[in-house]
Amino acid sequence: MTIYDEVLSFIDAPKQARFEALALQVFRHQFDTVTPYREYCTRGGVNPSRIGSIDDIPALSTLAFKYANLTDSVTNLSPSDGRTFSTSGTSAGLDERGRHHIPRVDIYHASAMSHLRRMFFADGTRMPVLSLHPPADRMPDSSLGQMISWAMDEFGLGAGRCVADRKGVDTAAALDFLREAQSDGAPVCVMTTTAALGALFDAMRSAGVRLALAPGSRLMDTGGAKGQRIPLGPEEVIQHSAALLGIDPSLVVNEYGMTEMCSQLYDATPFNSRRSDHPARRRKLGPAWLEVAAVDPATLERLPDGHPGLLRFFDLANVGSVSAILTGDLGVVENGFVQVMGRAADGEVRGCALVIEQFAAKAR
Amino acid sequence: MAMRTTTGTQAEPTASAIIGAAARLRRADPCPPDRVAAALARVAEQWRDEQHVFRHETVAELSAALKMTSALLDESLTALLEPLTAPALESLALRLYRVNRLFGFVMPGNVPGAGIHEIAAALLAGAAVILKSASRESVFFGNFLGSLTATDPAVAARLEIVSFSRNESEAMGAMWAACEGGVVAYGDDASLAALAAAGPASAGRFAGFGSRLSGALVALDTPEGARPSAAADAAADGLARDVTLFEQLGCLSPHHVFVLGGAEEARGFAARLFRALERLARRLPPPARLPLGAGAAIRGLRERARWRALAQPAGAAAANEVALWESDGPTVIYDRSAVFSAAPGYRTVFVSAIDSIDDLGARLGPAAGKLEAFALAAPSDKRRPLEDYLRRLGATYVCEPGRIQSPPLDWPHGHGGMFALLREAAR
Repeated sequence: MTIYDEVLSFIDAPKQARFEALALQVFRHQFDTVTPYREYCTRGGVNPSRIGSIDDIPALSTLAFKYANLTDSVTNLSPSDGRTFSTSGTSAGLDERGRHHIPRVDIYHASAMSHLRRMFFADGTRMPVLSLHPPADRMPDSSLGQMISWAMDEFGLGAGRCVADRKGVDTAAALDFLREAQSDGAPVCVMTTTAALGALFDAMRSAGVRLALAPGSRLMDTGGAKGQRIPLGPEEVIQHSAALLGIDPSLVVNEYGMTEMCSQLYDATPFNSRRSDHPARRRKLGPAWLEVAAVDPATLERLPDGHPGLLRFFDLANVGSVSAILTGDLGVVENGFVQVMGRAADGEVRGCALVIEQFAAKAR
Repeated sequence: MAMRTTTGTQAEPTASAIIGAAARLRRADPCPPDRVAAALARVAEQWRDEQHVFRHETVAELSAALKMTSALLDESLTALLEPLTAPALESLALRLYRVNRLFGFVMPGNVPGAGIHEIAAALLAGAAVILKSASRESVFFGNFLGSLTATDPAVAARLEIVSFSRNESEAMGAMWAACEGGVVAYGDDASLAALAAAGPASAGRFAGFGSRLSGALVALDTPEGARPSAAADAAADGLARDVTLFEQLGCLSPHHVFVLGGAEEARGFAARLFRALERLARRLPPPARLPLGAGAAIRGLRERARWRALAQPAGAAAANEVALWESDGPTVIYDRSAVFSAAPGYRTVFVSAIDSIDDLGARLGPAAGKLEAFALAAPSDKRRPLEDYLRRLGATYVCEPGRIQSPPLDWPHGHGGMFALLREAAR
């Protein structure tokens, strides 16, 4: 069995006791097959044979995906099995877009759909899906678009609708779909970026529209403040989804994901978890094949539970690129649940004033 | 009169505390400028002694509160207070209009003692001052007032310290109402705009010291291929001090160093600056642990520079666009053609090359219109035109490397906002 198949098998039937051993195996595979990662490790004096725990594995900054080709260049895989996704590039300019080549996209599919099922379609209900983000056929380099397309196929019912392309979102078309869904009286699912959702809410307020979608309707948003003129906070997403769409707060679930990672985390709500946090500080849950830690930004050492730090992941589903990922996002990890606090600013114009740490929203 | 620091309580709401402070200040006798100058000079002299009890206490308390090491705070405060000498204070007093009015000061919390230039000017002009200390740094001015009270109670009676949040609109309203001379505030541009908007509509009663950036220009005329000069070492040592003091958290702290000359010279200077920062860090250690936001921001900058550097084609180092020097303390990022970049503080500096002095104006980026000070390393015969050029770009203070944290008392901070306020109040 190849390492790829071992990971796929773990995603199909996770056995927590085996996670670390498999993680170490994946790291050694990546050291052997991903040249820039091997060079990075070697420069840091890392000897894979001496790596004995997940905390010893060098985590690679997500920024590295902008400058290096971080993919398995050794294993003989069919090119048609792979896909390359790009980051949107809004934080550093289009010339510095990150690229993540996934040599076996079936592993991304297995990871994304398995955890989406658990966190968002846990009741097994199929329903029409409205996407406010371009799907894979309109935006093939978007990992989110690919995920939404898969979700429409796997969890959708009847004619789903996508009302967005690269240029933007057609809020009138979205409203038509939602009005129709309201008349049908059957639940619907909305999958969207937070920015596109903000545009929809603006359009609804301008038109004086309030809908009451059928019980069981749900909404997944992702991307946070990115691209928003007036950022819509997590609490506002939940409140407005209830007020304007009639969606139960427990079925409004924020996703945390990034192009550089094949696995995602979702809000834990009473719908998918026994945990029930206040909307202002919801915590997220990742799948069993994703390990998360908050680390000290200077030493990169794991911080105790409950201490804020930079979020570091080990994603088995990234087996074909690099699994140990250091993000630029701050957060708190407690009992496996993650509270994402936002992104640390690079630098700021500093006045003769109290400098308040500023956080910008995460970028996909 | 004894030192008085007032904090609003339920028994004495903040607005009442401000009204009471204003009443006491109005009853206080005016002090002639030479007496104010003598008292301030005496206190500054005491505070330049690290063992002075009020200063010692201040450093001990601030070290914990601001996460700066005692050694660093000691040297930073000495640099800050250096210009407060008797001759300088007397000279400034002679040039100020007499203003027997009450002014309110809303102080910053990032750098202890920041704003002391403007407070000294106000007191020298004959004004009385209500000072609202920052919630994050409420120690420095309280203890400074303690020294002043012990030195000359009559001068100390011209200053009252209050404590409240700048978001308390009732308290700020009371401050505006009490301070007929005007209000002086430090903060980010947005909060200053809010404070100004909360005041009376009449112009000329507000001086805001907002978001500003400082930098450095190295123009040493080193011939291509020549050996690095002692002047370059001196410039690096001076700039290391400028960057290190106050952990680079004030508006006078340089963020970006532009080196006039070729890429090789600029890259070499970046390496030299890093070594100088490292040497200084042995004497003035950085905090054991950085604030999370700053630490994360520095990590991000380092990772971006590291991977940009690794992505460069192999070849001569001088051809590289990017290089990174890092340690447990400082970070120096050489980015050959970058525009002025704001650093997250804690000894993080960008170094870039400029081919000609005219390039600097085009490279200001986010600092355009927001410049405060520039350290300038240049041969004496080339210095004057470069100083003039930097002032035309907006720098309010140009100095030799190593002197940026000790601007003279007549420094037109924020383009002279305090002096304009005093002038307006004297009309």
